[in-house]
Amino acid sequence: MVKYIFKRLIISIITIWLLATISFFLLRTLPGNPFQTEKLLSVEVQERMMAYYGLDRPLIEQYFTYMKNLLRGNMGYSLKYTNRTVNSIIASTFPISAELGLRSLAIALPIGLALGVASARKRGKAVDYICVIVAVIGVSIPSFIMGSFLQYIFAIKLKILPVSQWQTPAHTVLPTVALALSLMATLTRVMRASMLEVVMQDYVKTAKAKGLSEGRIVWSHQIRNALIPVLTMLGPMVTSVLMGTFVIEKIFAIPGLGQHFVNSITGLDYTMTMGLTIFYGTFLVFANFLVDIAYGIVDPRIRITK
Amino acid sequence: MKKKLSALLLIIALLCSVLAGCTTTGDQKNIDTDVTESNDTGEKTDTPSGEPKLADEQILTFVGHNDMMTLDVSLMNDEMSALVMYAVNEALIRYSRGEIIPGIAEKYDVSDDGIVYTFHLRDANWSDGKPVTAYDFEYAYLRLLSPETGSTQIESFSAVLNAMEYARGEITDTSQVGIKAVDDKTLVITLTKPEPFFLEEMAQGINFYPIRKDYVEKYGQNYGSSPESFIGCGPFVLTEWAQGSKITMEKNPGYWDADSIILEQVVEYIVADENTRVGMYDLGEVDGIYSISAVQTVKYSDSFRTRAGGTLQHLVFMSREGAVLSNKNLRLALSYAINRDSIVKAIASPGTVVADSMIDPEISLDGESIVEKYPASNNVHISGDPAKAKEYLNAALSEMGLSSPSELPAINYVCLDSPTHRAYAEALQAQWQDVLGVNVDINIMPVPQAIGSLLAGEFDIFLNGMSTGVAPETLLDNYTLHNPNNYAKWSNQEYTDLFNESMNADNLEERFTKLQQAHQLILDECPVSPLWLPGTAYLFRDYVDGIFYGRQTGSIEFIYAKILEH
Repeated sequence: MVKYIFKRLIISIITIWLLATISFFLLRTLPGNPFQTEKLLSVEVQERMMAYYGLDRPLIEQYFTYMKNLLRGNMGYSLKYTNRTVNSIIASTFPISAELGLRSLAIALPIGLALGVASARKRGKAVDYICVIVAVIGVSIPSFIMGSFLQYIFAIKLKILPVSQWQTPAHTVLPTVALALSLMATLTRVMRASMLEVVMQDYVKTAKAKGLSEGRIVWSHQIRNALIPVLTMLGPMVTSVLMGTFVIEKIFAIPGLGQHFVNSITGLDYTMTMGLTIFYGTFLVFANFLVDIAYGIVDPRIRITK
Repeated sequence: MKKKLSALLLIIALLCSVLAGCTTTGDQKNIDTDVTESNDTGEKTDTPSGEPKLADEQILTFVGHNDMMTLDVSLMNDEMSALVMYAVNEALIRYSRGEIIPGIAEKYDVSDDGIVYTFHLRDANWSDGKPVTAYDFEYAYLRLLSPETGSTQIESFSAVLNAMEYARGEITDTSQVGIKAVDDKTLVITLTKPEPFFLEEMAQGINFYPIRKDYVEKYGQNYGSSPESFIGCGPFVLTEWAQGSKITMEKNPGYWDADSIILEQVVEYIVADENTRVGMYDLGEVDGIYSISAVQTVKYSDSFRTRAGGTLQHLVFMSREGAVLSNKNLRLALSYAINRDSIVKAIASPGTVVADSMIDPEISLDGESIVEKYPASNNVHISGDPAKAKEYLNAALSEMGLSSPSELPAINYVCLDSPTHRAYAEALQAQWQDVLGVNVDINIMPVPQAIGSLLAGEFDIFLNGMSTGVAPETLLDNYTLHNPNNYAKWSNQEYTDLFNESMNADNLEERFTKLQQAHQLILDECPVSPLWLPGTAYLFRDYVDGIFYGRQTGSIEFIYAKILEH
């Protein structure tokens, strides 16, 4: 186990290094520069700014400078929020996005999985249809419609919840639900499909033949095995949810991380884009690592020590 | 099978109801039918029947779409920072309700030759009680110019003696720069040559505020990134900046003119989504919306107000030798074919005004509009002139040896990737097709790439929006020979000579006359074609009194506002 973790750690570091390197050079192949904004700066001022940030130096030199700073955990100053570091922007916005993400997951995970199981168990019955309908709606309605819809009903019409902002617990209800609905729907669909597949497996028949109780078969043989695809999906899903969602955060005016993913790349804020990519990448690698360990717990067949 | 079908129908029915529920969002109108303010530019006037009663609670809340970027006035370059800085800090002079009023400077003298400006500071304090001195201004201005600071705003000081030389690193001795604090109460600014617009620049500019050196030294590069790392001397004190979410300002009791300030607190929420902003306004969570789109002005048709100016959108035609549009008559044909009025009415944001010259009509000296006194025009009717456009096109075609417009080489219109720019591009393309039969290819690019193409000259047509500044030559300056900002790559010796003569003129009359000639020449040659001055629409409840919309970006002035009883 220790050896496995060590090996994974090395691979993870290489992955992150590759990610950083590739995105560094890819980002610079984009035409334009961060100081070419709609508010047109004169050529002289643009050149001055490029020189000030060292962006006029050879690319390879900039790369080594960046990597050296990155090793010290310093991701530099944002080129747009001129006197804030990328580290401080992430430190102040990530907790908000993560809180929203965790709240949504806390709702979506148990309900989504339960609906998936219920739906598969009652295949073709009313329960199944209701679950499927809910899932299809949740998956196919874009979050900007769901968000605006909830906002319109509960904030503007019924006036029981605030329209936007991220202040009191009441403020968190609508964005959490809006985000949770689509997550829940996805989880329901995957869990249902996965359960249906497991039901047909030989070992379930064997278990039945052995005369095990229905509850035990469902719990230890079906759900446990059906969880594997869900787990695989969970790594990227948790990462993307915790990193913030551009649309939900925009609609509910939540000062999270989501907006920066979009704005930094369209504004060519090199340092910010790099910082976010590395942060996201590291988080994803770590989440997948946890998922790999979880596989072993759920399914003895893929114990990692082998 | 039957079950499946009914399930499917059920799904469809559910989806429909959800969608129908959404569309009703737009139908909710006239919540605030009591609002009667006309959509005029400018300030609201009190009812003639005496002084209206003030509300008990003097708190103004409004919602904006973007957060401010920084509180560091040396680096500041965005509208939202300027908006807040106007309230929490104060420069030597202030621009208020369209005119220059005293700020921290009680009075100023200008030397007879118009070169030396002496500002006499009043007794004013920073919000922590320390006195504001001339050294705070000297420090701020020199810091902005210093190559160590990395400011984009150096050109605001271009009239000041040796300022640009210092900014470029050509000189390092700050004593040679024309910015000098003589004592605590006297700041002397020396210009290179007389520049009557310098005071306007100081008043309307967003980078002429003082800075406390001890704060910069304490916080280093993080200076101005939070309320703690910033201090001002304005009518309000910044007490909260929840980044991306909320900005709170409280009245500064120690402000020298605190008696004129009635509001106790100003709160700005930052909400990126327009529907959410409108929802907050409808629910009464905010008293105003900083800017609303053309769509929303339909809903609030009787209550929104607008302002225009400060920016001129114009077409840049690539006029370099060898380019399709190097043919002057072809450029003129394109310009005459445009029905500017119809585009402004159909697409542009409310308050947008059609322009026929490259000088903002609001740029004035001693209350007189420069372009009205020294007129120059492209002579295009606001609704276009198809007959003349065709004449120019035929002339161009015969000069180029072509028989029909379809034989013209491809014309590349580089368009910024934004909804309004795309709409403009499509409207212009349609008009050129309809009137002239000329086909233009639209190439939509993200902002940095599009600007990159503009600078590299890789376009035939580019819709450019630029700040018109405070002096009449701001935009005309770029199109002289060998100027790196000559986006049209247009080379005209006569224009350059006229422009330089204007800049080196001994008196104002000569300066403006030469500029007028240069201006008329560039409009006749048409490397650039003025389109319109974009406007902005605002929405404030009618109990908010005394909000004024200044011309320059970021000068929406709420400091003298008050909340009436409602």
